[in-house]
Amino acid sequence: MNEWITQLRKGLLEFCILNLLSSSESYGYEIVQKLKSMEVLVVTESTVYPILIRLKNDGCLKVRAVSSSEGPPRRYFSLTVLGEQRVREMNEYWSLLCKAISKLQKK
Amino acid sequence: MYSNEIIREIKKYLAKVAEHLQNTSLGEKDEILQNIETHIYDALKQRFPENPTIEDLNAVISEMDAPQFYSQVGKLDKDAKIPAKFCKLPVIGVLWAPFGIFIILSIMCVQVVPAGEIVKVSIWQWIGRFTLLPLGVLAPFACTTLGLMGISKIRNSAGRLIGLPLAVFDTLLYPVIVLDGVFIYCLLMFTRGFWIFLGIFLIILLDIFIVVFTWKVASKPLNLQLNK
Repeated sequence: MNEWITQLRKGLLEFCILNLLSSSESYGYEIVQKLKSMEVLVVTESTVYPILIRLKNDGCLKVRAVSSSEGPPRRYFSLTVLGEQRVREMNEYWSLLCKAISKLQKK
Repeated sequence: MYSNEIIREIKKYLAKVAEHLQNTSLGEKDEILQNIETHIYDALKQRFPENPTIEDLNAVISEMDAPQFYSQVGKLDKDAKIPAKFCKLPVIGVLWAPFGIFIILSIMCVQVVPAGEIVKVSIWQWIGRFTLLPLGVLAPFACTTLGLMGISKIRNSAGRLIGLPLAVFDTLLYPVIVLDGVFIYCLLMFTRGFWIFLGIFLIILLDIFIVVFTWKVASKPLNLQLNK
């Protein structure tokens, strides 16, 4: 059971990140904090940052660096057109999946 | 401003993380480290806005993942990646296609001889009749069919097959050639001067529309389309 939950969380994390960024751009720390607040997901930096970088390399996210007086520049992530398209498709598929599963559960 | 001690400690943590990021490419590694570094500074700013001490930094780092956690990054992707194969059908289609074009060009070069004149047929022409001619005549149908079959196979392969652009090319090549041929023939027959140029411009626009539309339909995820 635990293994299944872990795999499910991993699969859903990309979906959650894209949805989180669909409303507005955000930076790493803020993204991690927001995802951490959803306790059921159980996320940490070591899972979030690699996914952010992979999504960026896939062309779904773009990065805007804003210089800071202290420390390195803060990196703001936002969706590209491809990212917007992907999150739209994911949301459509997610609702279909939920409907299908709920039908099975009723049986 | 942060003390040198704090900066040194942050670098030390990042170096430990870097040691465990063995399964990522160099670029990915740098980006992950940059993000973790910014994360630490943001956490410090948020939690200890005024002159954070080394203890404050340790408190922040202790709440973060231990460097060992990063050894799993990229490992699963590496293990799970099955190299995709190029779909053979569109390749056969694109190799077959030139035979059709060869036949079209040959028809355009046909020499009409007076009735009764005996035409000497060479051995190569005889061989061509039974090899190139059937291949060429069938090429438009074969190329289009193989393209369509290729699109279907690639779309249903869940990423195991690639070559969708080639399959779309095969599918559209002959239909677009025929369509353009008919339009250009009509243009040359029924219009003159400026209208010919306007017509050709509209044909090009139509071709672009057909290609873009077909590509959008072919590259759309299968699950969504089936359930709509």
